Amino acid sequence: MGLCLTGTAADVADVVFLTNDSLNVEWAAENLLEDVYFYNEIRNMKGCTGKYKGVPVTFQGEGIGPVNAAMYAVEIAGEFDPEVLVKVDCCKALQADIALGTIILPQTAHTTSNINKRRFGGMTFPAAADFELLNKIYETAKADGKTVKVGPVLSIEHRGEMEIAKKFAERGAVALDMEMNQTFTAGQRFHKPCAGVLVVTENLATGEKMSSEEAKEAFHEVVKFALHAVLEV
Amino acid sequence: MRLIEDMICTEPGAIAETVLLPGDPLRAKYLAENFLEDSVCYNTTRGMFGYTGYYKGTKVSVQGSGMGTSCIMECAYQLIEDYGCKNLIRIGTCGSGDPDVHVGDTILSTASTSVSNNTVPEFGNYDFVPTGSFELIKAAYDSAKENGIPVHVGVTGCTDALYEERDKLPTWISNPMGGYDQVGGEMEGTGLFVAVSKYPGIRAALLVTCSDHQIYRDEDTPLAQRETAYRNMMKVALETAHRIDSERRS
Repeated sequence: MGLCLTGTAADVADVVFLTNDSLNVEWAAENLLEDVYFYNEIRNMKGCTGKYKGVPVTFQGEGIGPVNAAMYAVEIAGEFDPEVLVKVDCCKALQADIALGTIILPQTAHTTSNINKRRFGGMTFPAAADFELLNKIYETAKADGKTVKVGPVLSIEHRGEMEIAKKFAERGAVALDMEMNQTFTAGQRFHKPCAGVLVVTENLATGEKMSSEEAKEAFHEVVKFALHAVLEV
Repeated sequence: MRLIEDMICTEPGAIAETVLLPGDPLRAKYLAENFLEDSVCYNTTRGMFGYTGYYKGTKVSVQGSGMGTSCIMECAYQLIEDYGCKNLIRIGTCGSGDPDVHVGDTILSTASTSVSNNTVPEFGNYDFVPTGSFELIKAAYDSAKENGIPVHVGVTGCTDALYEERDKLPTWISNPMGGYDQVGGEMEGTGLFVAVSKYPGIRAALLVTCSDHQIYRDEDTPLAQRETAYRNMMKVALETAHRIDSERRS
């Protein structure tokens, strides 16, 4: 429909889950969804729509980094007419007191990217979650007894920025990712409520890290939680 | 070392852990006289009245912050460093262009735009998003709901120049949020969030009442009424102070 995605608005559900790894979309299709239809044929960036416990939902890969997020999130929000965007991914904690496996619900997303500085004429744009959606997910997490943390995250542009990440951590950033800032921005641009549900698989302050198997399992669990919280199933 | 003279001059312990911060010191006086029990005026320096009293048994202060990011930042630094304050809740007025918002409505900010240079020394050209405390926002949101007071929750704008020559600027500078959701615009939120972010564990929130509207111009509040027209916002702020105090004790 645009430069990055084929398909039409009819191929995409009201609720779209975005993830930075295209293979996560295949995993969801194989393990969680029924009646799955893959609509994108470009660059092997998977996008599929199916039913989770009877409710239609779309999973779309958005690639790594703010530049990719600013393509896929904008295209899906602007041209496929979804109602809600939810980013589900792993993240790295920036505070020593955040345990591995904690669910991070980003309230805002700082960034080292220049995309928004340029877009807003030098102003700092408050890339932020939709509060009502964030609150709904938070309340569900609390009711389910999950360990959850809400706060600002930092979306970096590349892994060479770890030193500046520490400065953001000193000023309250709870976790590190690469796409949240532009995903929020796309939601705010097209007036689509957007939230992030990220799971901590590594802690940069303590050096703790899950094995890749543990990280995979933690991601699978957080996706199921996010589906339950957002779709109310 | 302080670069400007102090705004607050009182005894240690005279100010409560939770401080409400109206820009206008006369609104601090109004709130103290109308909502607080046993209130005492602890500050008259620079005419920036500050009062401490009790709301439903919770010790609360209300301190005029003055206008603009510099004023509220200096005020916040003093409250935190010199007087040990923990929760800073701005209660102010704002303009709005959001068609869902009307004059008199209460607005709760999750984050603020910034046109200031106050994070440049640490973050250069990177985007440090001035963000409110989720715990305070949640407490305010739940308090408002419980008291039947509708609130609009979202991002707000913060400008540094009230009398900007907008006709001389390209639209991407004069109206940078054009097309993007913004529940209101004011002049202190960014300063408060940025100042408080320097102190781990200290929390800030921004509650504002819409006092003038770009679309609904006939709803504009007369200036003289601004001092008294914001009881909903004051009630939400005081209930929030009471709620976080009760949660801390339980």
